[in-house]
Formats: sequence, C-alpha cells, structure tokens
Amino acid sequence: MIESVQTATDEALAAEIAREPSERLCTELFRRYCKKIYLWCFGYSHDVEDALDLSQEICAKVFRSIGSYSGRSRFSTWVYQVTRNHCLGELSKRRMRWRDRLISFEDSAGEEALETKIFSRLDEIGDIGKILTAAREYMSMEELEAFVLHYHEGLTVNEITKIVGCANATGARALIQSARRKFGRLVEEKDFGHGS
Amino acid sequence: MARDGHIDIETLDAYLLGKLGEAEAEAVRRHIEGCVLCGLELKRLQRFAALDSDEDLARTAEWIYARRKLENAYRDKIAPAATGEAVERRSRAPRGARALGWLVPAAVMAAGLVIIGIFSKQEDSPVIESARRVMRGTPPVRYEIELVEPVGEISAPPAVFRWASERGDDRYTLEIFTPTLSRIYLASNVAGPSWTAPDSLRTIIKPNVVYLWSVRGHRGLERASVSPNGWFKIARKPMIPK
Repeated sequence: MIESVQTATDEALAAEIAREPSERLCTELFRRYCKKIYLWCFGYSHDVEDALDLSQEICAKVFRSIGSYSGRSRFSTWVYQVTRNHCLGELSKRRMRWRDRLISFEDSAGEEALETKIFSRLDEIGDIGKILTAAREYMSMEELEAFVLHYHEGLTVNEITKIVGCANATGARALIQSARRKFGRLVEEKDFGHGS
Repeated sequence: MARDGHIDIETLDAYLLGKLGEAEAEAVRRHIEGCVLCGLELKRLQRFAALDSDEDLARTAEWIYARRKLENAYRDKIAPAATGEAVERRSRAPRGARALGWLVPAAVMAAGLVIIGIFSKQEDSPVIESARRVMRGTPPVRYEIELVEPVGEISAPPAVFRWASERGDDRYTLEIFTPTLSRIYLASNVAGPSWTAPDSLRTIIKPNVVYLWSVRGHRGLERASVSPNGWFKIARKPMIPK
C-alpha cells in the first residue's frame, strides 16, 4: 500500500497499479511520463497532431499492459521500450508519409533525387542489419548511427544531434551527408540487394 | 546477456546504472564499441531519460498546447479505461436507476417551460422585461474586413497577404498566430489592403501547422474595423514517385 504518491518510486506505483488500479496512482504516473512520451513521439512524427495521437495510444498501452512489467529493469526503461516499439511500428505503417517529410527538408532537386534513390535501395535491401554489416568498412560509427537514425528511423537533424552527441546541428548534418555519400558508393561497389 | 547477437535492454539498463560486475560491464563495453544497434540503443535510452529537461524541443513541439490536449484525453479516455471506472459505474448502477436516469433532467426542463409559459402571459412581468434586456445586449461583431489570401491549405509559404475592406481604412494591423494563440508576427501601419511577407516570416512558418491571422483597419480616430480569424496551412509536398 502506497502512503505518499508523490514520493513513491515509479516501480512502486506501477506494481500497485498492476495490483489494484486507482485514479490517484494512474494520474501520478501519467504526470511523470506524459511529457517524455509526447516529446519522443514528436521526434519521430515531426508533427504536433500526429505526436498527440501517438502519445495517447502509448499512454493507454502503458496502463493496459502495466501488468507485464516484470521489474527486471527500471520502469522508465520499460516505458521507453513500449514507446519506441510503438513509434517504430507506426513509422513502418506510414513509411511513405514520413519519407516525404524527410525529402522535403532537402533544398535542391538533386538532393531530393538522391534521397529518393537511397530509400528505394533501402527497400530493396530490406534488412538493416545486412546494411550495417556491409557499411561498417565504409563508414565510421558516428556516420552509421546518423545514417540509421535519419534514414531508418526518420529522426530530424536536431534530434540526431542530441542522440549522437554532436556539438551542434551542423555536425550531425555533416555526418548524414558523408554517410549518404558513402552509402551511394557502397551500393555501387558491392551491388548488394540485387540477388545477393 | 545477449539475444540475437545483441545486448538485451535490461542489461543495458543495468550497465547505465553501474549495476553490472566488472567483467560483465567490460563485455558490454566491448560489444557496444563494435555494434551500432546496441550503441544506439544505449544512447536512445539516455536521451529518453533526458527528454524532460529539453526546453528547446518542448518549445518546438508546442508542449504547452499538447499538454492540455493530452490531459483532456487522459481524463476523458485513458484514465477511465485504466481504472475501469466507466465499466464499474455502469455495472454498479441498478437497471431501474439507469432507465430512470433521463427522467430527472426531463422533469426539470418541463417545469422550466411551464414557469416561462405562466410569466409570458403577464404583459409587464419584470422577469420577461429583464430577459428582453439581456436578449438585446451587445450587437454581434460585424466584420468589415474580409480575408482574401492565404486562406485554407496552400502549397508554399505565403508571399502576400491580401484582404478587402468595406470602408477603405487608412492603415492596417496584421497579426499571425500559432495554434496556441501565441503571436509570431505583427505588421502595423500597413498602408494598403495587402502586405508582402518578409523572408524572416517565410522561414518561421512550418509545413503542416495551422496558422491563424487577422487584420484590423484604422481610420482617423474612428473605432477599428476587424476581420474574422482566417487560417492557412502549408500542405505537405506531393509524393515523389520512385
């Protein structure tokens, strides 16, 4: 039984909600996590209304499946997992929509064409693990990370800057651009994805 | 520790908290050095933990507006589902009480109609007279300015804002707001019924966000004429065929 909701740990709240849900406890947990969940969703969707839809679904999912939290990690890690999986699932459903947004960030027609080509090659190859294995000898770890976050997960340059730990957005943009160039070279030289 | 050749999230979490033994922590460190996906997972976990304090992102993501919407959704949908209140309330209410539930407001409404009927037959009833005064009240706002463009969905950032004024004012004030009603631009002392958007505005305006705008007209010391609020949104670019 929890005496003070404000001082209770996330884990204790989650365990009590799983045992006997009450509005007081659920509200406290919602208060602690709604901002994190929403901002994470915004990083993926780049759109306020889409992020709101996504975060409502995720909050409902967290409470619905709170009984499956085993306590083997921090509760925040479990929420992160639920949030990330949900976002990636939605991303694959709306793939063309977010790619279109990514393409629209690029200024010139030539850049747009290159982005479109990269997406079509990624679709042909399919497995991101296969791409990373092949790209390891062409790109640095930072370039690979920026490549995955930008082209596979659709994150904005600002968000990539913060995850990868670049000093500023220019650094992340440079990483993406050099990764893009090297990916183009890799595709030409290795020709993977064509029956390999 | 590893699943599909990668480190599971519980181990990464323990690694972040410094809860692993020396040998296990070293193994995780070595794996992360060579594995992009595990390295990224660790960085994402750290980022998730730090999201709350990212004020820049909160501003870009219009958190203040989003929080209100999320709290409403929580109160109306998520909390009742999470606590099973809605189900409980329905199941607790006796069948007869549920059937009679609508009778109470209906009875109140009927009583009100009867009282109004009685008073309306008395010509000089003070109640009716005060009600008439309330009904007369302030006249509704009359819009003397009509917004012409941009209105609705547009394909590119607006280059020009145009409006039409019934009374032909000397100068105008134009304001542009975000959906949360914070003003992003104010153009005052505009001479005619159009205004060319500067580059600084065109860079602020983002695609797929609804912006509100309105115009006030001024002529000498007369009261200002007003427009209704208009909105515009830059639609996403059309899909590029592969």
